[in-house]
Amino acid sequence: MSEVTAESIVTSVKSRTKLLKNIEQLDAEKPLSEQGVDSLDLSELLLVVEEEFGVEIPDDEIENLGTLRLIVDYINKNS
Amino acid sequence: MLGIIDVAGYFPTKTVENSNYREKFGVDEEFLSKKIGVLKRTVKAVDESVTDMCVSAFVELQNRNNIDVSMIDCCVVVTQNPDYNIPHTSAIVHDRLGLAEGCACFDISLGCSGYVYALSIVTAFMSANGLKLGLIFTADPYSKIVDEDDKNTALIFGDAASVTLIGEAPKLVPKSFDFGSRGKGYKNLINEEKLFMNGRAVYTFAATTVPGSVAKALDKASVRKDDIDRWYFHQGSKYIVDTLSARLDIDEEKVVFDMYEYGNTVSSSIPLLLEKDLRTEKLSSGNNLLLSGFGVGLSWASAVYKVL
Repeated sequence: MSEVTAESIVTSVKSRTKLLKNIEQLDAEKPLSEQGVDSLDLSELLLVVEEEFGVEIPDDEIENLGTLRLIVDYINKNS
Repeated sequence: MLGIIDVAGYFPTKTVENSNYREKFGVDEEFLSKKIGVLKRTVKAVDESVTDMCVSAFVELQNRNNIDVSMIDCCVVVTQNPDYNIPHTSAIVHDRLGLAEGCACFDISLGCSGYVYALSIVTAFMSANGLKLGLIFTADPYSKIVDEDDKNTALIFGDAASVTLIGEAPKLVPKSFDFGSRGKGYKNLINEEKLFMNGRAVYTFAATTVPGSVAKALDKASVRKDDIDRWYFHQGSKYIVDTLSARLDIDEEKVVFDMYEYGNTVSSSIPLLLEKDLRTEKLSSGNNLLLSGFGVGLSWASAVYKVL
């Protein structure tokens, strides 16, 4: 599988869910919580990521995935 | 054929405004209205029992139906917060309503999937035993167990009760059911000293499991998704109802949502939606309805009903 990027996550999420509005405006380096992504949005985002990229994200990893960049790195390390 | 004749609901008079908790939990109005979909929560009186709530719902039902209580031969209460561990709450309801000794009474210990399970259990039980007139109560006041300092649960749950009249001159008849369980997820929604909910796990479970259950129920009923006229999902939150609508790719206009003024009432959430639609004459003969409850257990149940 080719390396995943922040852009590919955004493209996948946009195609799979209408619930995460303005996802293409997210800054990959800034904390998601500071960009209007609340706990429900994060649950949806992680679910779509798991389904799209075939990775499992345990609950105890979530605190380490505060930015889109960290999620990208996690996928590339674990897929 | 046995089916649903009527549904009545009961809401406690006390309500709590979620906007009063914005600062405590760091949420805004948009989160309350567009994400969880709860602006107010109904809360039962401290000394109000589950039996009291059931009886209040029955009073509403009786006002519309003039039921001869001596003819009721089945009385079931769906609750996981019974008045006592022993006896079953339906026995106390039996006493309060003055039901006949020939009436079968039992409780069903299920949460958000409980109403749909109960529809199947009670309809099948009554049919198998030649029973004619039954009551399904739902009353699960989570105000008894919610931690008021827990952001995951304190803003969501409301107290309410419902009663469904099951009998031989129904308005709604069952076409199919689908059931499932995932016991390995039981710790994700559990009451030990207070209620604990792993919001992400419960959301993920519902989003990934309910569509398959719905598909099975539709298939068993030989009904297409597009032929469903009203969708009644358990009102866990606006977010999960929106998620299911999107994942099932269904017309949002047909998806019933109505929890802003009272919250997630657990097993009462679906019957309260039905009650409103019946009372406001939203349903027409020939309509197909899809009911789907899911949650604690983890447990789920879906059903297709037809309006006669």
